[in-house]
Amino acid sequence: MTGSAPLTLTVRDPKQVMRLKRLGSLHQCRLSFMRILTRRMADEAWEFSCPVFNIGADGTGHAVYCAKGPERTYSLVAFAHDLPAEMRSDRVIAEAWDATFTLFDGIPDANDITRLSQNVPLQEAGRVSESELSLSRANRSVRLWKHVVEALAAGQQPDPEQLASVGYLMRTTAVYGSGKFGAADREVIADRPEFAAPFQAEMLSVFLTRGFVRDLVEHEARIKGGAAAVPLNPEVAGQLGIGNSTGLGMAPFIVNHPMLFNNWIMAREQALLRVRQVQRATQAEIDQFIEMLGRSSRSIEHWHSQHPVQVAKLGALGDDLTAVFRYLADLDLSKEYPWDQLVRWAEARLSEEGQELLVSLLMEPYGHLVDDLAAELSDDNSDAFVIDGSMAVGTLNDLIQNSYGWALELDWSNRENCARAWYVSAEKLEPRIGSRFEEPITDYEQPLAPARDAAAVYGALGAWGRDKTVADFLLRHPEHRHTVRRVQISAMAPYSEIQDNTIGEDILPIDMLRAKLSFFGATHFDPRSDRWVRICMFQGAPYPNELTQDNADYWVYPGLEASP
Amino acid sequence: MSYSLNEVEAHSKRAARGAGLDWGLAEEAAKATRWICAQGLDGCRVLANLLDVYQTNPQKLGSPLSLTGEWHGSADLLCPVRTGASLSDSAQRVTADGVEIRDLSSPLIILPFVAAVARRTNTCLQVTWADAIITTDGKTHKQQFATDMAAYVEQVDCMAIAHATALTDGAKSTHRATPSSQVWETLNSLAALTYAPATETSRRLGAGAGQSDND
Repeated sequence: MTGSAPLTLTVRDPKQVMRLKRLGSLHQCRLSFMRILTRRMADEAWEFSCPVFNIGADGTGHAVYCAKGPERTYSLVAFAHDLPAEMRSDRVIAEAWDATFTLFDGIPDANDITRLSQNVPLQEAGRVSESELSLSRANRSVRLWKHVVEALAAGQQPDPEQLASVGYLMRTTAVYGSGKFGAADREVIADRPEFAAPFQAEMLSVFLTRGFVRDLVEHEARIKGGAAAVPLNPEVAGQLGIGNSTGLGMAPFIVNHPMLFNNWIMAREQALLRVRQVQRATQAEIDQFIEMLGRSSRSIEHWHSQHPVQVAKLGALGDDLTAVFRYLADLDLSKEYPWDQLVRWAEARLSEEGQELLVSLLMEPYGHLVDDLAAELSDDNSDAFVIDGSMAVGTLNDLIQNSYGWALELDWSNRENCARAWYVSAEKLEPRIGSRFEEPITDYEQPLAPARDAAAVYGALGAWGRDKTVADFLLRHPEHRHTVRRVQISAMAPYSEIQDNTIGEDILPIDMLRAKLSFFGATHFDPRSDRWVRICMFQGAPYPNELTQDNADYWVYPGLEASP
Repeated sequence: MSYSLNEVEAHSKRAARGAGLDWGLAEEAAKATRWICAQGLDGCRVLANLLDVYQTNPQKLGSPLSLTGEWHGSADLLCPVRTGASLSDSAQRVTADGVEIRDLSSPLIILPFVAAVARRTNTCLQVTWADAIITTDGKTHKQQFATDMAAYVEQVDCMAIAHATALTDGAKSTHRATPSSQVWETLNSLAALTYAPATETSRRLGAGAGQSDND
């Protein structure tokens, strides 16, 4: 272009991006794992079938759903149970569920089904094998389930208001993969193209689960209503996702996998950079952005929470959207670098919720620029774990100043800065966060306070000459080994570390949960406390037998014409 | 029973921490155990033996006094996790000059650390102790044990690590481990030492629940 210097832009500073408040405001985007999965399956024309639906009149039994890709077939094996009301809990520590699932690598034979029927319903108390890729369970939304069965049995469609207020018929708790409870390690499947991106097996399991749940509710309606019963209208069924309750068990994940978490954030930041570098947007791209903004705001209208923190954030997001629409009315998007201008405006004017929503929406017209970043999301560099002992102590010192500078300024002896401690409870074998000065948990503390620990290393390094090696330092200070590893990882992975205090008085673990769940592609985050959150998955998505290239991508945004 | 390698690693990390290793060393012990299991050897057994010493007589195990010359410690025996971590930290030195180590506990645990050095420096290294010669390029290994038990000896007087010619073939890697139930239980009981006993406060506050989860 004449008359204009090329715009010099870089990715956003980790000091800006990696704050908990912002990570706790992330939204799904084109690079979310659910959308990567549906795009791939549609592109490759996967075939779906239900060869077994052996569910009795009492609503119990098993079913098998097959997903056939170019080279391999995967099967969801679903078990439906009769769950007594007193055992109903969506806590991860429950012992019985309405339905239990595993994703089988291939097509199970009768022996497999027998083995799985003896183990999958037990979840953590059972064992699966290298033939299984996931293990999960779900409970009904009792209220909505009952309503939908009764409506369909009577030949009616369910009440849209009631559907919208819950959003799902069943809610999973844990969806285990990666070798848990005897399942196949990720390494077993990581070189399969369909599972190259993170959590694809788990997402496939949930995608198929959603189909099973629809079939099961229609089955119960037929049992109840006989010939009068009707199936769910496809448009109605489409508005039902799969719920999920996620608690503290997931929060440590993004700390315990610094390289992987870096790759997720880095891909998203690279995608944003590519869009900001667009010099001229075409009219089609502008139109698509405006359309997705409008559709997204409709989705947000149906995002409910009673948690005060989220209520305030949703209020701010509503104001943000109003401001965005007003700004866009006056902004000429056909000018140079329109998206960069929009991002700069947003950074000055909007809350983190609004800013991050815009980041996600800006990617929508630019699949051709950003979708290839899906290949960067995994962590195949296991040797990032290996410490470089030849590094000079002075270099390590500088790295800490650079990556953890903010943490060096905190007074870690101040009780409010270390008020919390993460531990694993003997009773439930689940990660917990407790009060360091009120509970006897410090001796059991998990290494989930990288900032405090980095400050401790920095203090210890003071007595060492800059030219000494890290190998020599660690020989004398093995207690700092886990932190030195992280510091070195942060040098090659700028988004690997949360730049906030994970043990401070005011830590909100739900921010950590949301950061992870947003990459899954979850929507409608509904914190139920500061430590666990409900979400919706695949809401609006096509069902397996409806999946086409036309509906594989933008399903997350409700159609403008759709009723509530 | 067969376990996934992720289970082995997670279990080993908790067990090593439960036995008193610092977190960073527990991480190393867990990765090492996983690598040994991936080579078709019983990593869990070796780790359980080592952690048993940590439980009964922790003073018996130490770190190298210096990373130059022959490696030895002031305690009765060198801990293979500490020693292995230092080997990994000293990759260039190990590759350039080789290393001789005196009085080492559970020598098989050294192998994954030497493998990490081999990967990092793109070389092939040989680990030798009485009755055992093992060569690794980092990804796989080739073993010559004089007896069935040679891989699992509890201590050796002398170990040498030196350059080797490139491997032409090696052990087939596996994704499963089959430790004995006794060994797994040993690791289990050590892992349990990392779990905080429940208190009324933690029951009340720990998971942040306290309202009905149903809707």
